Amino acid sequence: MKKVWVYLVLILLSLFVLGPFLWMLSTSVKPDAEVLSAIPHLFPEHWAFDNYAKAWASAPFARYFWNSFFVSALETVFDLTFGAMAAYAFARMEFFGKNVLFVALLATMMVPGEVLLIPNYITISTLNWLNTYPGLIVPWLVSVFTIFLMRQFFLGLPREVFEAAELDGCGPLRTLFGIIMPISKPIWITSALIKFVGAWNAFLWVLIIANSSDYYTLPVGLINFSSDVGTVYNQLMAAATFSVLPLIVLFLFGQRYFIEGIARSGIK
Amino acid sequence: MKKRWLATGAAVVLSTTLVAGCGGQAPGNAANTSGNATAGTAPAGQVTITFYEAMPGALGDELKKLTDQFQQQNPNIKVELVYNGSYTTQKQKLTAAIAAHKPPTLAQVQETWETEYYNNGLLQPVQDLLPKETVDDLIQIWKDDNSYDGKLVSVPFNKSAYVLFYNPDDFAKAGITKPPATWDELEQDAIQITKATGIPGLAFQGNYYTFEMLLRQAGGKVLTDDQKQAAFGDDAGKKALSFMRKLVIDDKAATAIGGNAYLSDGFNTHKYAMDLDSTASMSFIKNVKFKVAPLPGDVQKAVPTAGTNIVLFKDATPEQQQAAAKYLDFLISKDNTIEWAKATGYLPVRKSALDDPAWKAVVSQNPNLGVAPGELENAYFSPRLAELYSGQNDVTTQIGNMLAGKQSVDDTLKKSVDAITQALAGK
Repeated sequence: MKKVWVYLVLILLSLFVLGPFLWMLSTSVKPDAEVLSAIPHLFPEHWAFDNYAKAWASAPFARYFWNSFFVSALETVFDLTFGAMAAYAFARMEFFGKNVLFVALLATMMVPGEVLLIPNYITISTLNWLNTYPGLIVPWLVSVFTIFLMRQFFLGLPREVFEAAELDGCGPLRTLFGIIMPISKPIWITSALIKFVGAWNAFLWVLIIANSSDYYTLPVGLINFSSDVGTVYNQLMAAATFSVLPLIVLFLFGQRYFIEGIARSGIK
Repeated sequence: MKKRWLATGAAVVLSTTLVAGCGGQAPGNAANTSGNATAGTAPAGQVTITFYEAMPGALGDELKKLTDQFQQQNPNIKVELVYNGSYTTQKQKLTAAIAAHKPPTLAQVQETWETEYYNNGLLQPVQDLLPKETVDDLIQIWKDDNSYDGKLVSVPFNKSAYVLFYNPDDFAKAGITKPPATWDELEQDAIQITKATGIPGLAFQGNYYTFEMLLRQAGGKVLTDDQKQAAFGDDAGKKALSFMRKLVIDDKAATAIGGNAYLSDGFNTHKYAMDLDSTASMSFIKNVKFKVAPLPGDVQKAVPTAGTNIVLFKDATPEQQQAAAKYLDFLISKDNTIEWAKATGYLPVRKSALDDPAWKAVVSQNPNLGVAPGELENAYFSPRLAELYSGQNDVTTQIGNMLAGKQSVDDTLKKSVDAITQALAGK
């Protein structure tokens, strides 16, 4: 009986969470006349699937897809590599000022991104990287959160694993990438998902750095549908739908590890 | 079994990302050759200018069309359109570019930013770069709006004015035969429609800008002539606020909508029968029949204007400045300002355009487009002071409190005057 209640609450909560998503899908297939109808319908009276074609044609979305994918993938791969190395050092190596450095690193997470926008822009512009892939990608190759997440996980691994690797003659790099990473799958898949989703959704930096649709990503593409006097809701929702599709697929693949990763990182 | 499948899946995802990482190098390198904001004089005689713009969707398509025509006529000039989304994101991008000393050649700006840039010496006035007949042909309100210290600094581009939108079916139901021309008529019509149809007769933005409009219609002004002090703590200010409050609270015939909502969305869904909105909203009203009429007035007529101007940055080379001036002159040529207005619902910016047979043909086809140009002799623009911004936000809050019935007209007026006074003092 108690279980029924639990399920009931969970179902209600998931409807609550899914609501906006369903509304996005619903609006994306409504004709103009029904988008803002006074009595809202979940299912349109006339289905307008051509919103997708119109939205796709209104900007070079194929290019935006490629850019989003390329930028997010590269950022994720580098973030994992650098993050794992730094986390390994902070978790298992002894060096002068280790704790101070780690705290200093964590402190940088408190600085809001907006504050760094203009200094970073000036740096990138001085390097002549405006409107280039390096300008989009390089500032985001390392994230402190990944380092933190991985360090916590590495701390929880049995000391014997590291000692055994060392006894067998592994150096730190070999230990990390040959032994530790394969048994830390949940945590790096979690980190990768967080990073990838963050990069996929990034808006302001891309908008500021890119000057042409050659370098725009999907979120920047979405601004094509609204202006100061009105928004084309149905096409915007159609574009939003095909923009999040890859993320949903990614989540379905990585979900199990994602949950495990979050659950375990806190345990010592 | 399941576990293995998932692991393989994850591996596939990761490895594709790695592959993608390698395959992407080529476009990455190609990137370095495309020019940045200020460099643009490369091959012999070829000039590149960049234009930061914020024209989405169909508006953007029309701008591209005009720009392509210009480039065909001027093969030695390349115009790079950089689309930046809303005016807010446009401003953010401009702020960053200016901080890095790499502004674009041209940019669409709102008046308050323009003042800021002008005062900081960032702009190249266009008065002497444009042909005299272009400058002289600008409609007076746009000319004033684009001039500083007696010089034309920028060019009016996507300009709009406020009109009264109304639903003719609701007018018929309420037995109203002509749109209201005065505050009294507006109020009576709103009451009648509310009675006849059950929906509010009127909607307006419950914000500073609506207040400023009513204030001016009541014969008042926002600031003293030297722009140093608030000047609306008088009867006109009180009359403007009282009118808003009466419509919403006493008559229950009007609804005030909040900051982030579009008036056109509610009109479109038939939540009200009239609203006071910019002509630029016309292209977003698709569901209901609508007509537009000149804004009603009180002691006098007063019509707010909106939209952006195009500025030229000083960092541009002399060649870029010449090319940019040529492009601007093309964008607001008589034929093109008509074409632009016809396609977008914005207003022509030249006097000669309004008398042109081509424009008259456009208006006879769509009479709604002909209303706003006729009001322009009563048009105004808000004080072009960036420092007013915080004060205007405070006034909007005070008006919200008043319309929610939480605050009297007198208190609202006093607090609003204080807010503007403090904003002017830089507090």
